Amino acid sequence: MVLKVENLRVGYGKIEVLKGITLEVSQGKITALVGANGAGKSTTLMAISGILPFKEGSMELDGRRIKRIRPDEIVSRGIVQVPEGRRVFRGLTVLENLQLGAFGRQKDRTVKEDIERVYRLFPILSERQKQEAGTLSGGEQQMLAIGRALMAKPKILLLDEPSLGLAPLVVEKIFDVLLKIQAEGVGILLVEQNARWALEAAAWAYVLETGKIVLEGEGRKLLMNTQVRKAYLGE
Amino acid sequence: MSAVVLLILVALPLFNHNEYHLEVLVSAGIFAILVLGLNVMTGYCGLLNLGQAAFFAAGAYTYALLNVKLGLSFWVSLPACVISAGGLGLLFGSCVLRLKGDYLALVTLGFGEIVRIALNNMDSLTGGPNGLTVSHPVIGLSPKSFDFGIKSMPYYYLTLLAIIVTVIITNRLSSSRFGRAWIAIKEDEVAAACMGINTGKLKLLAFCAGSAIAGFAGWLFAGKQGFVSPDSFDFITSIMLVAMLVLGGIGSISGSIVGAVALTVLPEILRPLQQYRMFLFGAVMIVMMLFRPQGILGGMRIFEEFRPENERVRQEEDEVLSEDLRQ
Repeated sequence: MVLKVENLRVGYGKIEVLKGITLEVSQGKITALVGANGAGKSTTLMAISGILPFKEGSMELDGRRIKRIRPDEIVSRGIVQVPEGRRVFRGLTVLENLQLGAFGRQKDRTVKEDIERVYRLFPILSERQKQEAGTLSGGEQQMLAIGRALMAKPKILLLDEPSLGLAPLVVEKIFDVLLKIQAEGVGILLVEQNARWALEAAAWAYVLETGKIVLEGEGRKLLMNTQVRKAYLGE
Repeated sequence: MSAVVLLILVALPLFNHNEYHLEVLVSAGIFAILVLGLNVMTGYCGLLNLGQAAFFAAGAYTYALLNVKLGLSFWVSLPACVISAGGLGLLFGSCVLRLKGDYLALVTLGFGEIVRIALNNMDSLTGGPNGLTVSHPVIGLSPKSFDFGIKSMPYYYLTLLAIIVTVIITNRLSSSRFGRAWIAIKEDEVAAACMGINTGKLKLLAFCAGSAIAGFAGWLFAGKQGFVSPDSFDFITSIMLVAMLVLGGIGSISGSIVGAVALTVLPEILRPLQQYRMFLFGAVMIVMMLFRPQGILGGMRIFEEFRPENERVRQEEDEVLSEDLRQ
């Protein structure tokens, strides 16, 4: 499956945040979106998820145009977002959070198997399944947020800053799992402040600056780019 | 525990024949049903409704009109009362549920007033401020029939039964996948939408269910009073229902009932204080919210996690998690 976004323009009121963005995400590959704070990375993901309306532009899934559909319809087509800051349902248990991830396909008998699969990826979640999500540590909450999104059986996973505020070893563990998920054929659009890791793992990467894509290329090549090194890797 | 409470409630009228006490308990019971309905909207789904009295009125007036105009009996009118209130909720909800938080609260407040004023002014249909006199419920056929009449005892048991039915329904709803989705919407609507939950449809469902339950209470109320007038469905009623829910514990079924009983019985107990009654009533509410903001039976779940010591525990857990991964 290939997701194509063309000339996407999104704004809040009169302020235009995205000034025409074109990008492509394909299944089984990691695509990175890097950029400074306020460049419009999260806005891009929210627009793709159908939470924010497009002012202009179009979205294509496997060559078929999709316009103006609800967030739940986007999810049922296989595009699922893990929002920034985890946003797990704090008052619900780990298990309930995972079940909610499969809300759109609850009648499906494979839900139980998928919960097991998430537990295999993140064994700590299985230990904590009866615990309320609000009592989990930051790292565990991020694992839960990813697991919850996987419950929707995504073909394309949109990840917004999965390493935000986490200990380096926890980040490492999460990135390991992302590679596993990718190897199973899921496409990942990764928004990351940890630009080095994102660019290393990404088959293709885009650099976003104040609502425009200023640079794109293979992840490893962008890592060599002096502009990128200066701006995002602190060299 | 709940079985013991139920047994006490069933046996109560056998030991206490005081008409006034039973009357107060029947009112409390009808309020409890209304609060249980409000709990579905506000407690589960986070939709603050300051116009629950409008749906209460819809149920009550549906029975009154069917009885007065068409001569339908109390029991036969039940489905129509629930459907008309639920339908009104569906209609109104589909117009306004795009609004969030305070804005929704304001619109529901306005709606509640519109319904009351409309009932007050549609003289030819509703009798305006004079209201409508309706029949009390009757069981059985005419020679051997039993009329509920004006004694409180039969209504006490009918209300108890109605509460049990409502508790079963709302309990089922809360443990269903819809119940989980409602809590998700209440906690974080954007995250819920990201999970593929059709938030618009589910909010409407919660609103419709809550208003249908209010219609059920209205039906019971009209039959018990034998009279309906717009005065019973004013803004203060709606506010009291919210106060009952908050006092009892938002999101809790047993809390909804306890809140309704407490706020119906308390003003009665305070009656000897005459004009200082509401003053003390207000003070009790303030003290309650200061020392137990989650309500009498509200779960500790939500508030526990904001305590600083838990934040520290979480950070330590992350360190332990890192340790585990290192090995």
